[in-house]
Parts: sequence; structure tokens; C-alpha cells
Amino acid sequence: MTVEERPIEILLVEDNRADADLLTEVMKEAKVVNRMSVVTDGVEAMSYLRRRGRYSKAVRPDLILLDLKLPKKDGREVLAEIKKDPELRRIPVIVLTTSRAETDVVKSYYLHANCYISKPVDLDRYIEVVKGIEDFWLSIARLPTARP
Amino acid sequence: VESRRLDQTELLNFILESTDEGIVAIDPEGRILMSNPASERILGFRPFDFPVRLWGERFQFFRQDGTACPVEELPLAKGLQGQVVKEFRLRMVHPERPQGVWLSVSSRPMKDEEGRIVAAVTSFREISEQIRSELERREYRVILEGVTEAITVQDPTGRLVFANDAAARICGFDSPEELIGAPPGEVLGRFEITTESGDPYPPERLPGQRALGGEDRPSSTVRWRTRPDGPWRWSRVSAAPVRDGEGKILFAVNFWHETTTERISEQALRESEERFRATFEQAVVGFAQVGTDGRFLRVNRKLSEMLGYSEEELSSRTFGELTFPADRDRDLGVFRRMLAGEQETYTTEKRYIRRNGEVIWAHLMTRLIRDDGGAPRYFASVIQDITERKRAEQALGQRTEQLARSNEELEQYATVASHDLQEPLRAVSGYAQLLQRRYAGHLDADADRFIGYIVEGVQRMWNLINDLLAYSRAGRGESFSAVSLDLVLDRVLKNLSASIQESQTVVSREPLPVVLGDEGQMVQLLQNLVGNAIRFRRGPGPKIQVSATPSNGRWVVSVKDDGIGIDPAFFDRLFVLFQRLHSKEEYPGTGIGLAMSKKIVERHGGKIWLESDPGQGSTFYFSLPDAKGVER
Repeated sequence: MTVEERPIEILLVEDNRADADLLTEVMKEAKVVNRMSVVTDGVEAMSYLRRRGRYSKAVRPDLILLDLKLPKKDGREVLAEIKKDPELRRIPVIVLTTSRAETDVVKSYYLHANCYISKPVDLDRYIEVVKGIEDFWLSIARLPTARP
Repeated sequence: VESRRLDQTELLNFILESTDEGIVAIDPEGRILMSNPASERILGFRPFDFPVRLWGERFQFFRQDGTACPVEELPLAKGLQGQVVKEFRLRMVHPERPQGVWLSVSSRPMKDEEGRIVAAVTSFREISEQIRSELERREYRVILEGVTEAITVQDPTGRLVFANDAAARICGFDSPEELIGAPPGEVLGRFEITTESGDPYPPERLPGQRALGGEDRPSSTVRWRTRPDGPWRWSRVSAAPVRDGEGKILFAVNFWHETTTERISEQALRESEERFRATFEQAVVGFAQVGTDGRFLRVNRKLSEMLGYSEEELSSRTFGELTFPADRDRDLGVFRRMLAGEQETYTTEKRYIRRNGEVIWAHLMTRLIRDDGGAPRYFASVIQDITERKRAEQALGQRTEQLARSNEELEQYATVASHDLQEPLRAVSGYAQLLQRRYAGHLDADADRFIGYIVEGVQRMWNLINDLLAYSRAGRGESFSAVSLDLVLDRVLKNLSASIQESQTVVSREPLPVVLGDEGQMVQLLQNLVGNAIRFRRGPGPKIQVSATPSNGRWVVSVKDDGIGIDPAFFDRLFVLFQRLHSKEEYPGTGIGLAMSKKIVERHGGKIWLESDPGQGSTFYFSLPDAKGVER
């Protein structure tokens, strides 16, 4: 098996444009090279993943960063749908949220989230976290590349 | 005087024919020798038609005691046997006189010179009337003697001609005969008689005298006693005149009916009634007697005031009509159950509608009163106006509810507000920090300073939001369990170890109790207090003492320091959220610590307070329930 030389594809599901941009900037600061697509609600996220409508040409992401608070279809539902779908469930999902509520954490893991991260307020810390994600999920972990 | 000598036979015949006495003579064979017209009149038949041997078939004879008298024992027969019979009473019944004829019969034998009985002569007269009146007199006498009422009969001169046993007894004689024999003045003199109101009673006005004077049925109630000082007694005296055929008054009959017992019990009843009425009327609670039909029979003034109806108005209304509709069915149900004997008393709080439409609350206690036979007579009810109390209770309930609601709203508000504030703040914070990171030194000095303020302000806001969130959560928290404050303090000192070391704080501790509470909050509480004690020190090496003493089944925990102290003027502000006594530069912090501590202690049913000398130090106390009886 050969490692395909291509940028890492990340799908960010986040309704807040400022938050999404901030993450992009933080990634730049963290020197993480990738391609990140952003969708702003749960319905869009599922369309993207299933390549429906205007997302027919969408590339299947290597990693999904999912906010829990989303319009139309919230993060928990999106997570549940992904993990029920045999084609999608192998994609690691990182729940990235401002919530620190214990119930959200438990519920997310219960729905097979691969990781639960609450967004730090401090920028330096945020950068560290993103670096950590990159290190673990995009460098250390071997992700399945062959697509069935 | 020369007169013709009368013919003896002629004279005898004349006498026999003119006498009213029946006379019959028979010979020893029972043949009728002679009979006069009176005998025919009395007997109702001609004696010649019936020889004595036929009498037994034709007539029946009875003695005075009611037994049958055979013919051979009749006075006539006895005469033939040589006996003399005088005034023998017998009753003869025969077809012409079926009700019987009472006869008084005398008989004697007639003998010849040799002494042989040749005939029997019997004379008789009818005494039916006499017998009847004798019988009646005897009957009445029995009745008059038997009655408890004293009865006397006076003749027109006032002299007693009859008295019964009761009369003799009242007048103090052994027998009616003695009473009748006594001089009238003496009898009357034995008594003192007054009217009911106590005035002397004039003897001529006594009913007997009035009856003799022609009044038909005079009657009067008198009070009397035997002289000189017998107990006062009461009698109802009445009299009636007895007249002859021409209407002339022959006698007056007096009846003395003694009413002393009734009088005394009536008076006792009246007195008890009066006492009851006084209580009933003057009571400060409402009283009512309610009939078995639900109607108000009797109410007191207080109840009439309470309901706003006069007593008359209430007497035509039922309690059901005045009961608030929502309470009516329940009350009527109980009313029926009580009448059915399923329940004797009923106590409740209910509403009545006053005459002016106002609704009042009342405490009702009612009992069913029964007669001696157990039949329901009426309900005795005590009704107390509790409207004020109810209003206060309701107001209190409403206020408590409002308070709980507004507390809940406040907590929700704090949670929501702090959550929603986080989103935009995150953006401000993130980009401000990004600006600082990327452009610090590339813009001018002012820009760097401004960005610095933004970052700092955002950080402070962040802390406030987090504190607010924590504060709003403090009202909920975990359920209580037994918590060892010794272990809690261990954790607190460990958490604070860095600042303890840095400030060279000396913590002395006494054994702490096990309390009932939320362990996480206990850590937060002690950490706030110990943390404050370190923070507000006067210099390096502060001394802090943590101890606990039992007090009224509770524990009072104290945290004593030798720090800067607090002016008592600020004690109140100390526990208010985000109130600070010092600038952030002097002593950092949002000002949540003590507000949070107060909320935690109050959630645990305790109190928090302090003593302090500015410049000497402060002692914070909090009380908590003991964990005794809690299963561990």
C-alpha cells in the first residue's frame, strides 16, 4: 500500500463564519497544511458527505470537525447519521465545541465521536490543540485511504 | 167524740192499696194468697199469674255480691221456713225488666194459734236509683282518693264537705275526715298564700270562693307555704261550681295541682338557658343551630355579623345557600352522612358568601345533636372567621411560588446569558489575540496598547461569565451525602498549595466534623474562605485557623485569619455578587467568592457570617447540619 500524495481533506461543520475563519487562521498559525471545506449547518453537512446536489463533486474528507450547535440539524444528529452510515462511519469525527457540559461529552462519545475537544479561549492554547489534532489524527494515526 | 167504728178489713184494704210498698203473701204451698197494686207496679206482673214454683223458670235473682240466688233462698221462702228477713237486697231480672230491678225485701212468717206457719208475708220496694248513686259515689271516691291532685268540696258557707287524701296531706292532716272536721279558719290559717310575684293572696279571691260567687271555671297560680317557714311551693288552683236543677250553687269543687317540681326545673332550665344565651350571644365566634333540613334555627350575633344577614334573614335560609359553590357538594355530602349516622362530627375549613357577595373563609366545627331516642334534632356548629389567616397564607404561598419562579428564572437567565455571551466573546477574544500575535510591533504603539486593552477586557469578561455560570449552577448541584470536612480541607490545602507556599501561610487545624452536603461545593466553600484569608493578608506568613464547634445540633465551622480585616460597614455588601471592596490592582478577583459561598451555605440550610477587626483579622463562620442519622 502506498501513501497517496495529496493534501489532507478536512470538513468543518460550523455555523459561525468568524469561528470558522478563526480556525483557518489558527491552522495557519499552527502551520498545518490541509484543505478545509466549511459547511454551515447539519443538512448541508450530510449533503456534502453524500455528494448530493451542488456537492456532487465533493471530495470525501479524511477528518470531520463538528460543532454541536448547528441550525436545521444539530451536531448530535449529524454525528448519529454519520456513524450509522457504513460508507461514512470510518471517517474520524472530532466534536469541536464551546460546550463544557458533561452531558454533551458523554452523549458525543455514546454516538461514537472519535474525539471531543472544547475550544480553548486562549489563542495560544487553541493553536496547541489544533497542532495536537494535526499530530495525532493527520500524522500519527494511519487513516484508511483506500475507498471502497 | 162520737165516730163510726171503722171496718178493720176495709181499712186494711185501703192501706194495702195506697202504700208504695209492694206486699205479697203466700201459703206454704207457694200459692199467692194476696198481692197489692204496688207489688204489681214494682214487679211488672201480676203475682197471681205466677205461683212461686214457676218463679225459678221465669225469673232470675241475684244477691248484692252478684251471685245467683235460688228461689228457695229468697226472703219469701225463708219466711215460710220461719225466718224473719229484713231489708235484703236483691236484683231480679225477668223478660219485662231485662236490665234488672233492685229490690229491698223484708219477709216474716205468719203463724196460727198453734204456732204453725200458715203463710209468709213479704214487703219490698225498688231501690235501683239508690243503688246506682251509691255505686257511683263509691267509684268517684276511689278515683278522687287515687289522684295526686288535692280535691276539696266546699258548701256555700265555705265549709269543707269533702276532701281527698292528697288534700289532707297537703294541709297536714292524717285523713280527709280530720281535715273536713277542722274549723275552716284553722285550715286556712296554716298557710301563707301569695301570688306568683309574691304579693299576699286575698282569700276571697281564691278560685273556690269565686266559683261559689258564680264564676264558671276560675283558676289561678299561687305560691304558698305552710307557716311559718316551709319551703315555697307552687300550685295551679282551679274550681268549678256545682248547681242544682234550678241553677242554685250547691258546692264548689276545688282542684289543687302542685307545680313546684316543674317550676323548679323550669327555673333551673331558664337560668341555664340564660347562661347559655349569654355565652351564645356574647361569644367572639359564631354559633349556630342548624335544623335537619339545613335551615338556621338559631344563630348568635357574631355569626350574623360574620355573614352579614340578620337573625331573621338567616332563619329562612339554609347553610347550603350561603356556602361557596365549590364547597357546597362536599358539605352537603357530609351533612347527609351525618344524618345517616355515619359521622357524628365534622371539622373543616370552608367558604361562605356574605350578603354583600364577599367570600369569607371560616373554620367550621359541627356536631349532630340527637334526642333521647337517638333521632337527629339539630346540628350545633361553631364557626370562626379565618379569612385574614387564609389571606395571609395565600399571599405567603403566592409569594413563595413567585420567589421560587423568579429564582428559577434568574438561574435560567444566568445560564442562558452566559452561554450566549460566550459565542460573540469567543470571536472577539480570538481575533483580538490573533491581531496581537500577528501584528504586535507592526502597527504603532497606540494600536498595540488598544489591542492589549481589548484582550484584557475580554479576559475579564470571560471570567465574569464563567463565575456567573458557576454561581447559577451553585443553586442546583449534586444531592447531599455525608461529607468529611477533614478530607475536604485536605483537598483545599492541596489545591491552594502553591499560594500557601508562596505566601508562607501557616494553617492550623482542629478536627472537623462529618456534615450532610454536596462534596464539590464544600471544597468550593472552604477553598473560597481559605483562599480569601491568604489573599487578604497583611504581609508574608499569615496565620489561618480552621475549627468547628457543635451548636444546637448543628456545626459551626470557622476560618480565622490575621489579615487586613473588614470594616463592619461593608459586611452587607460582602456577600453580594460581583461586589468588591478593593481595586483589581490591589486584590485580583471578580468578587464572586463570598456570594458563591453564601449561596452554597444557604443551599445546605445553613448561614454564613463574620466577625472582623480592621487591621486585626477576620473570622468567617458558617453553620451546617450534622450528618448524624445519615447512612453512609
